[in-house]
Amino acid sequence: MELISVLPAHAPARDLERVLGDPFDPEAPISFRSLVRHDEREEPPSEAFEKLRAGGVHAQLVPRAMGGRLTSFEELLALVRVLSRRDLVLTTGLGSTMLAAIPVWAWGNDDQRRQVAHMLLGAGAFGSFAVSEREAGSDFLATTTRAEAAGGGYLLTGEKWLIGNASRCSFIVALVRMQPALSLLFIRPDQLPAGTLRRLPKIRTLGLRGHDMGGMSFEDCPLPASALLGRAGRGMEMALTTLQYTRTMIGGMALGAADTALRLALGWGRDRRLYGKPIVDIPAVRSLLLGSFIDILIAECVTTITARALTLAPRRTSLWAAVTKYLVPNLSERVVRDSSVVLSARSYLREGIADGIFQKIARDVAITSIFEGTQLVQLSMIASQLAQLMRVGRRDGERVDLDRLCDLGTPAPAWDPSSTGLRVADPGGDELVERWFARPDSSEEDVEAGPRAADALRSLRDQATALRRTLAKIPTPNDLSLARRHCVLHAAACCLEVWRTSRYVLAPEAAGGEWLALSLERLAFGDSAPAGADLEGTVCAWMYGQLDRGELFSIIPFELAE
Amino acid sequence: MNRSTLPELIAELQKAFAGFLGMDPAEVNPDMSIKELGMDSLTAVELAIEIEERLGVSLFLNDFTGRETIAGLAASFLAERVA
Repeated sequence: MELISVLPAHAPARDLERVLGDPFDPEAPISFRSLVRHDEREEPPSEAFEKLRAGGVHAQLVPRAMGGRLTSFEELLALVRVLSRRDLVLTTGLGSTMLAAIPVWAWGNDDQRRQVAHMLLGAGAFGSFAVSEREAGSDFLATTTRAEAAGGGYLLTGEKWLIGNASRCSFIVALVRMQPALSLLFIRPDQLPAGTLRRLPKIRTLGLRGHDMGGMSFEDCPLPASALLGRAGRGMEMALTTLQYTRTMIGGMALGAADTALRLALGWGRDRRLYGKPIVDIPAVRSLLLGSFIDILIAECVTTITARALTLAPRRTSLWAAVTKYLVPNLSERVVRDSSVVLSARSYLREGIADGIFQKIARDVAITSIFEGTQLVQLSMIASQLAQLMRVGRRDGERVDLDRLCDLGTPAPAWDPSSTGLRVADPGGDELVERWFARPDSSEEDVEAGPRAADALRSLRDQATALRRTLAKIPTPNDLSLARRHCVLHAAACCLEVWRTSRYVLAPEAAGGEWLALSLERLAFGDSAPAGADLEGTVCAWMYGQLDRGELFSIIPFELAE
Repeated sequence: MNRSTLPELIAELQKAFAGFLGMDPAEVNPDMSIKELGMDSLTAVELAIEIEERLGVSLFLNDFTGRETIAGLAASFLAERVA
């Protein structure tokens, strides 16, 4: 069979996928069998991390200008997905490192950048982004860890808690209270006097049992003046901006987990015979599986566009990263839940299908809607920005080029850490929603996507009109359901725009728009979406085709390792 | 901005806040708490950055309570400049 073509942005992920092998194969370099064993022992999957080091994965976290291979976040997203379909413990370990590295790339001085590049490229080191505290939760302003000026440097005191990579990190970027306001400090644990940094015991968690989740306590910890990262007093701004990158990548983590969950449920559903036929032929089962496939496609469109926007429309990502971080974990958790319904008793076993990986995924994926800002945090950030947009309208003159943003055939430009272009808030607009939902009914594109898509679009436009009216009446919407409704419109617009702009690179089965119609219906009508056979049959056949050919569940063909 | 008087600074801040709140600068009461003016902490962080970029005045909302007023922020900025 002809090899399917690979998007340039997917090439590194495809290469990594081949190095890692088929995780269902117990003999693969990283297998579900070994990952489940580590989880049972609550140990980090050390051999897997070792293989990632050997495979050069850490270079993907270092920008090219600093000797690495990180280009765009679109490219990184694909890598995150293929790693996360194996184990979220791996991407959480690497993600926490990335979280600490991003502020160094963006605002650090040359020496700090050199140190981090050296640690990542040489040793495949871990980093920690030390922001949370026991009493502060998501409230940055409640930070109590304090750095006092002393002897030309600083004296740091306080405790950071619920910190990823806390016991194994070789560098720390910490949010601390100091003059004139919250700031970031770059800390090298190996250069501190004994006893001034104490690493706290591992914190036991429901999922991610092999993750190094802990804390650190600083006591009169002396730091040189050169520990300051970026400008003093702008720590909160830098932290909030950094999170826009990683919140988008969490979309890739959730997508990876959802892929394996659906793969297990589909495979099982086809083999399992009850009442004289495979259970996938039972309409309720089929509908759960198809709904999960559609959820993955919606989540993929949303995440991919935000990842591209990080370098193509950076001003918008204060809004879009929050939308992604809210929507995609929700969708992926629903995929896992619905897959568990299909797997029924098998979903509850710590053995059996794929060595019992499913129950681990179900526990692990729950973190995606919690860390780096819970769902309520994302919704309130969205609400704040929508209110701001309603109050003042568009403040920036620039318009996002939607054709370029959503043309998946053209890779997003490489990241330039020296001028990120990101804002903390004030996104300036949401052209995706404006383009599709600010206009009166019916357009050429509606007709092209078929009558069912057109019906769903009409309903979404009505919902958009109602939302605008409500927003216009309430200057500061404490009602987070308004933010939720915006997220639904944004997701629908992402699907529409990807289909409009990128049909030429989508899987052949995607070009007809059946998936689009089903996605719009799911977003417009939720559980009461109409069920028919015309579109469902086509999309189901595509889903089975991806399973049989060993492709990622995706609108773009992506071959997995065999 | 570095030599502006208190009333000048207040007027500039009113203008900047007005831009974010969708109000006329004259409507922005400098003695009203910024929360009452409709400012939340996220928008305030963004506003502080813009004020710095436009006016060269560094506002730090270390303990954003919402009870701060424009007049109060301007006065503390001038006090720091003198100090």
